[in-house]
Amino acid sequence: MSAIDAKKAEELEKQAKKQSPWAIARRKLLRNKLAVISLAFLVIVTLLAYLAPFIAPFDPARVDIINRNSPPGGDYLLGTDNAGRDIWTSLLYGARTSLTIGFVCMFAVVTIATVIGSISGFYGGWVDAILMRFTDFMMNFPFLVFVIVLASIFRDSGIWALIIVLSVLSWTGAARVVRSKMMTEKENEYVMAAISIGGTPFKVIRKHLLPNVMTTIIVQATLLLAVMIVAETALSFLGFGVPSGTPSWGNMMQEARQPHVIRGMWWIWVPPGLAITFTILAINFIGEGIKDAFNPKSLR
Amino acid sequence: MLLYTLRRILIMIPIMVMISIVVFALALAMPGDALSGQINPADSDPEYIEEMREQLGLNDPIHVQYGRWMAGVVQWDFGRSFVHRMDVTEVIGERLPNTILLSVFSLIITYILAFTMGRFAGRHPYTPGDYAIQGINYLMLAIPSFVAAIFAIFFFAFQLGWFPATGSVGSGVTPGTMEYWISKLHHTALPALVLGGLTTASYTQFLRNDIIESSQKDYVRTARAKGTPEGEIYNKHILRNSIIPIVTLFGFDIASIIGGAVIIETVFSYRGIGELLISSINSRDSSVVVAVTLMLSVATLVGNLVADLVYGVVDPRIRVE
Repeated sequence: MSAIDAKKAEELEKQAKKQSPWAIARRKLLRNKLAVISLAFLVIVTLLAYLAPFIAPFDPARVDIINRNSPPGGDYLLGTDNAGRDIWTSLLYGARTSLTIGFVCMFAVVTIATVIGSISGFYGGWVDAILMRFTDFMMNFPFLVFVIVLASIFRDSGIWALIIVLSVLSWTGAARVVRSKMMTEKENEYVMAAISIGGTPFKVIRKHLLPNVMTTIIVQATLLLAVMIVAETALSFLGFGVPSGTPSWGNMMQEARQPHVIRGMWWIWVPPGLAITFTILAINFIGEGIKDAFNPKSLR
Repeated sequence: MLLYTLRRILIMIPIMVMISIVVFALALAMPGDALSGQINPADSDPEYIEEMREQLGLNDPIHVQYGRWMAGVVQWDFGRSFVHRMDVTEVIGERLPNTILLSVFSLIITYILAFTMGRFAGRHPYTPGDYAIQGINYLMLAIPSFVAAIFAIFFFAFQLGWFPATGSVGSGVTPGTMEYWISKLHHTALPALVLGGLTTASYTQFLRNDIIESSQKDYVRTARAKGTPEGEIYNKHILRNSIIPIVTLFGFDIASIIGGAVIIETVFSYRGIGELLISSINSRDSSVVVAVTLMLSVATLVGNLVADLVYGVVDPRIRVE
């Protein structure tokens, strides 16, 4: 090894020492062009969604009876739907509904999965056996069928019932991942040290184990966000999701269940269709980017 | 293997009982009479409902009702459908062949597409072709099935006119004739293409990565050293090893096809089980909803069982545990 190489290696080592794993991951993520573009896209969509009351040209409930089903152009940037509502306005407000439900469900699911996965993985033994049998049992249900049936039973109970139904039925996969990561992590000596100095299980899990399992949880969370948005839009599309008066991307697509709308009025279903697809695509790319950034083996 | 199979089947029985209890609980929460389907869901006169409930034994203790319902279910009796005015099993029997046709058709499409794309991408990794396939994969993973279905109807049915937009069979064809079957296949092709196309992504990715990994292995180097043609190495030596793990994905596919079929059938107004579920919920035909939910749950369970068993056949280590 030449002197220059040795010096370089030393410098690299110093640099690595200076940075926390989070800083390294952030740097790697920012170097991933696709992930950065996706992140920017998602931020813009979120901003547009939550600033909808200031940006949207019309009131979301305003109907223009004379200009129903009018194509893009004129007063209406993207045209109007069957009821004469402005599509661009619906798209903005719809983004707010769909993203809110997606984020709230994601947080709920991640919380349930983290609690169950942590307890199961940390204690092991019969606690683990009971919780995992329960998880396996929940996994046996066909997700969409049960979501539809449950959502139809609680159809009149509003958005919160929908959020609860979606969350209660979708934590299983993430809980298993957290559990297995927890099980490998707790074998480390620092955990034994933490327990031996008298740390309570809650404290050991929260202060020592969770920060080390966090990367796995974050990756799961991004995947779940995409799944939840798809589930909400699909349910609303079928008529079991968000109440039909509330604009949501799925509700906007609902009009395309009539063949003549698909055939002749593309402006009604193309915007929400593309919005959903590109949002999911962006979330998936971000998820891949984060996974890659936290992976010490990947060199990107 | 026999012991392993028996054990896996035995484990399923308590799970099935618990699932039946959950479905039963849902049935009690549904509007109308979900267990036998004798009460008119459109009639909301409280006196009529109370009289019928008393008559049908819906005021009995819950465990008695559950016992009576289960006794019917194991004898393949799910009560009557109020909307269709016939036995629930008959209504389902009418729709089931359509869903099976759609599922098989879509599985075939999945396998053909995944094999073609996965093999190409695995053999030529990091080339423009590979990147194009990866791009398609990302898009297929991202696009929700109902969005894909609507775009497919617009392009293939309305713009190009290749397929009919909705329905499961043309009107005016007599069942049993050749014409009938051709019409049926023609109607099934587009929904199957959407359903099958969207599930290709994971298979393609799996096959591609497996082929790339296998091509570094020793036996491949040996084959090359012997002078085996490159095409034969990929098609015979590597592909045969890479197919094995793919087989195990099949069982899990049953669950995803069930979910996908509900949406796809509804978009295409395709007369199958999934469309029946949605239309029955909308017409408050609860007895049909309960029967379909239970059947789809059992189908998912059987799918998981098949996946486990096939996995046991393929990988002997699983059996020992």
